Amino acid sequence: MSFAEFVHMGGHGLYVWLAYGSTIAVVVALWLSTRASGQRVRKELKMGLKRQSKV
Amino acid sequence: MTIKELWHRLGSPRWFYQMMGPWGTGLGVAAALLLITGTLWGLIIAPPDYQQGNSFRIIYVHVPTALVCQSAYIMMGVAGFLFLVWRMKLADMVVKVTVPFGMVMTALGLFTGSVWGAPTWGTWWEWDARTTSMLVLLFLYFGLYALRQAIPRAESAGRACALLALVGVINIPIIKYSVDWWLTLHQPATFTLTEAPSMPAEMWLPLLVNVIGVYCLMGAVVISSLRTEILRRECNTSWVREELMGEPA
Repeated sequence: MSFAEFVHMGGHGLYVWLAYGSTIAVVVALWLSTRASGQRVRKELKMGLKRQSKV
Repeated sequence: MTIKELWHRLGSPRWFYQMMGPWGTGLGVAAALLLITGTLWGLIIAPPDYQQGNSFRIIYVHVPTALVCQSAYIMMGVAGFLFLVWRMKLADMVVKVTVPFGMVMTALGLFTGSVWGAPTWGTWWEWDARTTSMLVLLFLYFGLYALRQAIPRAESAGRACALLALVGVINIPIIKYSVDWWLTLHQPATFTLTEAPSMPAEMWLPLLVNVIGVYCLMGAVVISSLRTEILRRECNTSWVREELMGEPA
């Protein structure tokens, strides 16, 4: 099987790649945003604690 | 440890935060490995279907996402029940943090189903019992998200969301049996617990890998968001202060 045949998926390339592409993109984005919000909250809370300890 | 002690510990945000960090990481790694394996396997190695050709490969992203969003909802319904009956703080947090995950997975299940329907059923959308009940599930997730935003008092918002989560569980058996109760275009279940799969192993093994992978992903995402939510809600306690000071910046 050549690479072009693999991409073509026997005429179903559009459907297969649309389904896989959207799923992979959304799952990666979900994971990154979960991690980012965890880091953001930790950072904000730490800054709050520093401010409190100065006062 | 007796069951009663375990119960009290599970309800304690502090215990959960401190014990579950490694679990979140471990499940995240397992999810990544399984999902990469299952997806490549399904795309490259699994043979095309004799009737549907290569469009059948969409099963490897459609079934896991469409399954896990229902399990997430059941988990949320159980958590809602625990919060309504025992006022378990952690259960309210579970109801809150499961919503984005479930919403995203329901949307993906619907979207990949629609993309699969185009070459297979000849239409992108059909008001069929299965697709319609899945759309109701998506609206339930939207509703839960909006409800929490709309009620300013956290305590009342928690109770309202727990109740909606619990009542909405009725939709899950409707989704499951929709393909049996009504005449639908949707094909019946690929996997059942009681019968051997009707497809050959080379086709269902990658599906099984992706299904297990997506459940690990649910575990990782829910644990990670729960730990964040615990920090946010308990930020005035001394243990959170110590925890944050101890962690590297």
